[in-house]
Amino acid sequence: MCAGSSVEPSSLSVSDLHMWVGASGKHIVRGVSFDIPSGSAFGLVGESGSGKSMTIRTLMGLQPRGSRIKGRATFEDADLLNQHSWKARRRKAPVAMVFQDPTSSLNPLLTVGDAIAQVCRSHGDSKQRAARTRSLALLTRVGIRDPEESYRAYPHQFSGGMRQRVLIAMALAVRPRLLLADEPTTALDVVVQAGILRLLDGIRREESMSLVLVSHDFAIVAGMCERVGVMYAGELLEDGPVREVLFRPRHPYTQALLRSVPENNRSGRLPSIRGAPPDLSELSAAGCSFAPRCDHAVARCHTSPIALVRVRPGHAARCVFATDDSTERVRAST
Amino acid sequence: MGVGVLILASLLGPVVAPYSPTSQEFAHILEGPSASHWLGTDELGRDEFTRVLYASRVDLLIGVIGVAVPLVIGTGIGLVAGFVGGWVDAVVGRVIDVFTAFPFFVLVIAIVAMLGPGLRNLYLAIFIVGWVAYARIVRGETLSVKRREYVLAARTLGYSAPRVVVRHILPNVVVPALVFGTSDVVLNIVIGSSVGFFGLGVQPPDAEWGSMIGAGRNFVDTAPWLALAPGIAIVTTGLVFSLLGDGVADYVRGVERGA
Amino acid sequence: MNANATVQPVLAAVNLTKTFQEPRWLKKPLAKRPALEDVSFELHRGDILGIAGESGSGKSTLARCLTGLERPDRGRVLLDGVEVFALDGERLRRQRRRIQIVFQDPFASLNPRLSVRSAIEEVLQVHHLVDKQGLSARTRELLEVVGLREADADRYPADFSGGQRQRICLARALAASPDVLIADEAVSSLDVSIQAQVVNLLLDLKEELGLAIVFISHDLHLVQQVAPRILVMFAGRVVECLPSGSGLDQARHPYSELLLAALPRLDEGSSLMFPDVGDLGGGFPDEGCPFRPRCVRAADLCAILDPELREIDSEHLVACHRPRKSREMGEQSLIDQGGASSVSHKSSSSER
Repeated sequence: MCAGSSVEPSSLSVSDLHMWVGASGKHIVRGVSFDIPSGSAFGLVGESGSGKSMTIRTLMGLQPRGSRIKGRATFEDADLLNQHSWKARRRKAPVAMVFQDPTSSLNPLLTVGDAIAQVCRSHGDSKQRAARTRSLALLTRVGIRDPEESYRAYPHQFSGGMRQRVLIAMALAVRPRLLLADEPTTALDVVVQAGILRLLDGIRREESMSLVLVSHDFAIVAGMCERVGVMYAGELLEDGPVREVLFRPRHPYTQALLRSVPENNRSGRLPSIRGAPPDLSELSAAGCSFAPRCDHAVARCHTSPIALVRVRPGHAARCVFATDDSTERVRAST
Repeated sequence: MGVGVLILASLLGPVVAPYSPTSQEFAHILEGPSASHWLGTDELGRDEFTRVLYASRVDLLIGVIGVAVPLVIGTGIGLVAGFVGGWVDAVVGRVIDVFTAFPFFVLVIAIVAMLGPGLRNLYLAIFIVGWVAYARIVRGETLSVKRREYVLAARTLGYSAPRVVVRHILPNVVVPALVFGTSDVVLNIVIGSSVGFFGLGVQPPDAEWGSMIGAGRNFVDTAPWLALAPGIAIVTTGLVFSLLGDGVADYVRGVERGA
Repeated sequence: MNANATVQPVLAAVNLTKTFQEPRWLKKPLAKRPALEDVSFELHRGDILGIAGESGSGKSTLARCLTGLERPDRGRVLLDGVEVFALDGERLRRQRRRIQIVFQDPFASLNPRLSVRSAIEEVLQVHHLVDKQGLSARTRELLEVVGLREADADRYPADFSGGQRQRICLARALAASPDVLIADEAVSSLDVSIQAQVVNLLLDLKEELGLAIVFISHDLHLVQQVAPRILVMFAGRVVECLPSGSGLDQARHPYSELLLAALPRLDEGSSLMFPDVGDLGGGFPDEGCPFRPRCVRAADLCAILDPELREIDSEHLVACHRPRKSREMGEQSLIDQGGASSVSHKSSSSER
């Protein structure tokens, strides 16, 4: 797809990424492509089964065993998909990931400080003392007061939000240039979530990191990212600047999804999308994956492959109606 | 399939066996395997093959009943303890802990030694000691299942406690116990044989693999087949049941993953 | 609380209080702050009450007390005026049928060993709601009402998606012909588009069956969408009760304001900043208002005296000594609270 800006080189470039999983070879990611300029944030939005989590895990090398990958993904010219160059890349341009569930991501037998220090040690600060110092600094950086005391604490003594901060500290320990966040706040309460998002946002801007944020929540992406991609059934259906995609969407799926968000509605019934997301093992290769549920679908939507349409520079949608000038404003009121 | 063969053999034993297991023919003492006696004869002239066949019933029954009864008892106790909670569960938990501290074998042999030799006492001992493993498994599962929303829903729907326990909790906690049971059969057979080996189990003239090995011990030089035959029988049976247990466990795991 | 004072509410909670003690061997149990404290409300037929709160707010404990899964330490639950917990045994079990609940986790809410048909028919049989001949017809009816097909009846929960399972749970709950349905974060684990479908289904049921619904969610926007009246819960108590029609920005309790400020907005004009008020999952003070440690407007009075729910506007109650005045621009000051709390605050945010 198109780059955010034609002048800056993209730092993260994903090109025609495919993934098949499991014995039956389910086609979970279908030709996903996007570029992220250095230091910017990209949101990947979609419902369950859209493939957004798998996409991001592939970039981190965490795809499930027995899966097959095709395509290219490079970060600052290092190949993310090739395991051998992975180690070399780690030194030059590290990538870190923050996961959804802080509880299962932390080793309950390690104190928080040791967990972070361990990461520090394998990424440059090989001496015990240096690692400890850096670990303390990171604890402060993620907003944990009393870092000395917290250093010696175990994960179970922390609340969910605090644990997520610890996870973020561990991610920062590698001095990442790219941060991948997979629904980092879904398991947290609203107020705690706000704090974590603010922290991530602040860190991203201060360190000029690139960020890929996966979420099912449009509003989070609206607040955190400059660009957003909407995924459905393994494909990227729309991709563009946040303000454009979320308030002037071009793809019927994006439009329908935004219409069902409670915030965009007055009270009462919510507009919904009929049917359910497709079973990926049954999806036909021809035609648009959303066509069966689309109110605008015509014959060719079901039969011919749908090309990416450039709606305007930086904004593309995979739909035959994308250049239609009848843009739909999603907000129900003024 | 192996189990099928074994069961078949034990059931058909009395029919197929060419001789009575207890009839003695002193003329043919300690003969080697031959056409008329496929596994030879023992020190009292009895046909070894027949005895091995008859013994298979005894040992198989020990294996199966030795699992079935403790399974039922243990499941019941585990279910009730886990569901009711409170002091009942605390007491049962402590009892389970105490029993678990002792090795299974030691306890069974000790109890048989106290009660005196014989098949009935062997069964008693196995029942007394055996239920604990099942209770522990079922109690653990019950504690976790009873908090699941579908159990809460059953309670909210106004179902009586017995109904909730039997229809909603039991089917969902019993599977691990059953899986354990299939591998427990082997253990019981071994224990039955061990006790028999020491002469504490089945008493003569009844045939039982362990006691046959014990008796055959004395004739290892002259008539090794006397100890060998039942020994091989035990090993084979054990193998068959182990494989069965593995198969069941794999099947269950496959089903759960599919779900 | 409601204009229809003459019609008896189908469900009423009066001063519900519940404290979970931590029992200790041979010692007095540890005193803890109540999980539920003096919660009261009324719900009429065909009405929807929204309850908004985060984990630790007591909303789940409330749901459990209403359905009889927990027995409150104090207070009463009244079904059509009949005090539920005063009943026992058989009568209690029969009354329980009248309040049903749909839980958050669609994957744990259905017995994996029961087919859909078995699960639904069991309800009908236990409560003798139809005779033998009518069982399968009624099952078909119920499945249709929730948007499933009769062919689905003989399948098992494992064959269905999250949204479909919630529908099955609804069908099972409806099989009991309840007067009240509690949706405890019932749509929170569902995708946005499926969420919309299930919410619409709930609204239809309310219209067609006159069902009274208690809709619990941490998503304020969703609660506002569905319910004309909202209770905001914090630390086991109701801190605000307001009509949703005039908009959530009418909320006056500092916690409600905080909740609103923290919610990510899908608003073209909104800034990218999120308020950072640290983790609310710390301990609560033993005396006074539980929100005080995080409240910008806290005064000395707040440390001593627990605020009570008071009416400050028509249909609008707040439990606060210093609620926001209607035209005050107080929102900014709530936001900058500084960094996260330290580890010495043990987490109390576990769901109960």
